[in-house]
Amino acid sequence: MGFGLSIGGGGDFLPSIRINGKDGGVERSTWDGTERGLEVIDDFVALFDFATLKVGWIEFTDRGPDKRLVAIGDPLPDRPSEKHKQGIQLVVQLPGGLGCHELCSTAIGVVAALETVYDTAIATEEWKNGEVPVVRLTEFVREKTKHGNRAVPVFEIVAWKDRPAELEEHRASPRPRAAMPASGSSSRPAMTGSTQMTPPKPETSRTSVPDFG
Amino acid sequence: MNPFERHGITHISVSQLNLWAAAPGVYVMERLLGLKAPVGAAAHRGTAVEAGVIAGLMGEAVSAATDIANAVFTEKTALSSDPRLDKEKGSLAGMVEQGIRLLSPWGRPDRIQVRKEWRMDGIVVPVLGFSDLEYDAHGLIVDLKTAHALASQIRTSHARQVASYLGAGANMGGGVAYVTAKKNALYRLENAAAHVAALTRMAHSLQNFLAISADSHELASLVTVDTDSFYLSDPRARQHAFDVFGV
Repeated sequence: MGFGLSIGGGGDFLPSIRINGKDGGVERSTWDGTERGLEVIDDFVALFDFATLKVGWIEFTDRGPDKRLVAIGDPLPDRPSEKHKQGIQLVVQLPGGLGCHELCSTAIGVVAALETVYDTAIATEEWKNGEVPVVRLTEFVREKTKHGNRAVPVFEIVAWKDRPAELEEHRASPRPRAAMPASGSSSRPAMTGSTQMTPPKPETSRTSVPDFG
Repeated sequence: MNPFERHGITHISVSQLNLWAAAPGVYVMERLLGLKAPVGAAAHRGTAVEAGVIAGLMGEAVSAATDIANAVFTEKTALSSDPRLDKEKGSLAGMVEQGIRLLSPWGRPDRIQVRKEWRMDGIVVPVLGFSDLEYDAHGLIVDLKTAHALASQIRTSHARQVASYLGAGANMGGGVAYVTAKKNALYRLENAAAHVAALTRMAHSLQNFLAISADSHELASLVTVDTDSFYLSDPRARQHAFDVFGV
């Protein structure tokens, strides 16, 4: 029985994909909890499993990202700090036996591009049939904004595949509504109010100063 | 496209969410399929009394305020065949008088019918509403409600409504003023944050429901209606319910 945990087993983390939303380019971190590494991906193509999509708040720090994410459909958690930005994360599977990676971003252009391909994908019959799109990053569109340069990726669905079991493990499902915690710390429905309010007393004019003689 | 936009919903209101909570089938019928029955005389009574009470609070004599309420009611119900028309009209004068008597000690409101727009976490469309009366000196937002029997406490649906106005304002308390033709009471709203949290939860449930399908008729097939509900008391609403749900 024990605690049922797997502490110390290694390999607990997925390696990650980083799309540079400022200058363009894609990198693959090979850190999986045991070995570090970084490599550039020239032609980024992967199975994008939107069933693993999570949204919420992310802060990228020197120690790694601090993520407060939920499956789509769950209420967003409170924003932990001003440094946390709205972002998304999904699991993609790279070809060539590279396996599952986390794709995580708060860059506006990257998130918007992912939302576009997400909207396109989930509207298809293939998605409804349980297939997963093969998505290629075809180019970066460079833009100048008032905040500086931006490189917006353009994604294209190039094929559809059956969902591998490996991706199934990372599916993100909204919690059943009945399992949602009650608001705040209360375990009872909130009272509405039955205390009658009394109107303010009208201001009385100050009486004249008594005559002290 | 988000689930609301897929159904042509650009904003939500607390009354919509209350309807969704109380009668999901009626919500689908009215809001998604567009099969709305004319509003009953009771709803027009509320609008008319509100116009009269506001006029009274702004300085009109009670008799003139009552005339305003009667005029609004007559205009709104000109084409109504609601059998409760006479009863509702007969209660206007008393309700206006009770409303003015209840609220005039609070002074002249600083603002009336104030547009409130705010957003819920995780809900794409904004929430839109209009508060009835706002008093800066008292830090108070009041909603006026009419009924034939005086409530002994704030109804939950009304609490959510006022709480939503507070969410859009700063440092204001809330109250609900209930008036009948003979009685009145102003109750202080409690636990506003909890009521906003409940509203948010209701909005998520609606969003989840709308996300199931872009086809309103398919959504209608997932719910049904209580045919004894007062929402279906109008014969046209009852017919719509039969046409849509077959019950």
